[in-house]
Amino acid sequence: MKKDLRVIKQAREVLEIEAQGILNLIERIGTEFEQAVEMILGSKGRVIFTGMGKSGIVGRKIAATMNSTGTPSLFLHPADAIHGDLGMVTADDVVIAISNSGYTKEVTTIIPTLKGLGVKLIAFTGDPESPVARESDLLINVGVDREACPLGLAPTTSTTAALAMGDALAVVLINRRRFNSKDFKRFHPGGSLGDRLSVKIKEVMVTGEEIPLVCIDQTMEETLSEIDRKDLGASLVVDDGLVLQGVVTDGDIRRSLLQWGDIMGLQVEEVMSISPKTLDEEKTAAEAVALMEYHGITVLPIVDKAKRVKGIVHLHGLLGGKEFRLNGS
Amino acid sequence: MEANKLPRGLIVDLITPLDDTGGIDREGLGALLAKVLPHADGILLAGPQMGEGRGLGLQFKVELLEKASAFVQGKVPLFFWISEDSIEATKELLDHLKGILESTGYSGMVFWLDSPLVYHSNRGLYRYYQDLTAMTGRPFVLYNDAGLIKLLEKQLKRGNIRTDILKDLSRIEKIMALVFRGSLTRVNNYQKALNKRPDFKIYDGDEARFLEHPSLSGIVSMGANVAPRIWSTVTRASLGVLEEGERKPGYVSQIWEMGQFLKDLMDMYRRNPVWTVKKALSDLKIIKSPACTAVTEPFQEKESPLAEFIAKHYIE
Repeated sequence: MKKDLRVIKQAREVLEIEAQGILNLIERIGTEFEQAVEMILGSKGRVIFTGMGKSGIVGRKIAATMNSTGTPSLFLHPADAIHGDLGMVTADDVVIAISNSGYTKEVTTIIPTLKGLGVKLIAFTGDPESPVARESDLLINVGVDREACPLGLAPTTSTTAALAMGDALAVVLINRRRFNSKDFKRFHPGGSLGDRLSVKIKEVMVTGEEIPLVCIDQTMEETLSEIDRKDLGASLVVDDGLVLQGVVTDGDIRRSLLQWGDIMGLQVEEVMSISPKTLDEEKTAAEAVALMEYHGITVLPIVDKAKRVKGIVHLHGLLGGKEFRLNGS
Repeated sequence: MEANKLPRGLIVDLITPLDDTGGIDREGLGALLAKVLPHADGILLAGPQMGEGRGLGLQFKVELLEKASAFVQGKVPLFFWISEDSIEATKELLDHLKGILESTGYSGMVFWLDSPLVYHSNRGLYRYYQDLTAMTGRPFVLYNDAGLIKLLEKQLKRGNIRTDILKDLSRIEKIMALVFRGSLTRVNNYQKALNKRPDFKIYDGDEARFLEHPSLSGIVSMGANVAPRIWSTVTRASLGVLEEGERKPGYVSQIWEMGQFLKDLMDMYRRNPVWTVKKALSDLKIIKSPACTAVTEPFQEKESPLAEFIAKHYIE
């Protein structure tokens, strides 16, 4: 029983220390933070995070958060940087170097080259007098008073503080960029299914040159080639005015092969299914999925009121089997 | 050396070596400092715990500072505990200590360590420190230890410096740090109150706390009297400032073992740290005698296994 109490006490202490570490950052938010925001907003490039060990892991996470929220960002491993990856950095980028001590050798090694490239450098460090802090254009002090982990075996409060400060930066940037829910969906194609299916079809349908499309007077050889090229397992068949005439699917081809053997010389209208199910682009992805499931089909032409083709959706694309790309503005 | 720059790391709460007549064991002091200095980031003299500051007279303290500063020669900052039983006595001591530093021309860093609640209540502390800090050009470090106040059986309402009072005191530039013994909740509140002074350091005055959740300013250590190298390594590891060459493969498990060792060591001197450590240093022929002042609890046992333990583990 005593042992259990000790476990709970220790766990509570860790949370108390880490929470305090974050709370202490509040007073440090000031001019430098504002300048960092303006620096990032003013740059034409990306925000590049760099750091070793657990600071590197924190950098990766903040970069991911920024990417999800409209600030193009990537992570540069300091060790890989000196072996060629510095080539990914341009003068337009802002680099954020994360190092709690501010003395991390791998980070200090790449700073001169970064400065030589003309990038703006922001330090996330706990020591304002450290080399990383001194060499940076801006210092964001993420120092903490106490680590939760004994003997310096692993950074705990310090990495939590750096992560929280990164979140603060990302969230402020969201608001400054007027990032909205539509943008969020664009950057979150891998989000929950509910989120995915709540979008309008016009935001997710395959459009333009990527639509598998043949004219009604084309041969099956040309149709097979189109299906193979566009990789949706089907092709839409249209007239000269892009009005939908029918659909040829893998299933139609299989049945035709069984019926006629060689189908390469046939006209597409001899093989296609006429009166395919269609949907308007203003409907939701969820409605498209429901329709396809009900009729046992995997592709759905998207047409306007005059039956002109606007796009196509694939069941797997909507449910996550394939890349889910939003194609809005 | 940079002026008034607080060290970050290991501050040794040095015992005060006495000879059999109750005077300073000069050779012992020199030998002990020679042993700990290479590993220390600061030395605390006449501290209320290991230094037996409460049992040393004014002249003794002045002499101790004179002799210790002559050995240290500015290599690391010195912290000297100045608290006496009254405001007047504290000011008188400070005046004498200041005088000896001036007369010897000591140019090393010296911080005055003060436990105000030993002789003053929370009320009026800000005004008091405005006055006290004006007496000397050297900076101050506060010492908060409710256990000490309780031990002295002071009729004070509080044993801790009130958080709002500490916040006020932090406006005085010459007060630069705090040595803290007490609860985690209190130190968190202190940190919150001090967040407008990012340069303000809070040192752990409790070794067990430091070994669990280290303050990134450092530790005031009792055990460093007998195991300075190990305490230094563990402190630097805890602060994340180990040298590149010390991060050899397997160093993490070595640090873990050192941490466990220091806990074992603490268990050995926990009951009566001053006498136990002095006895060990005396058995190891570093100081002349385990003699203690009257404020140290008389110890009944004639033997201490600490020296044997230290010799067995080849502690430098």
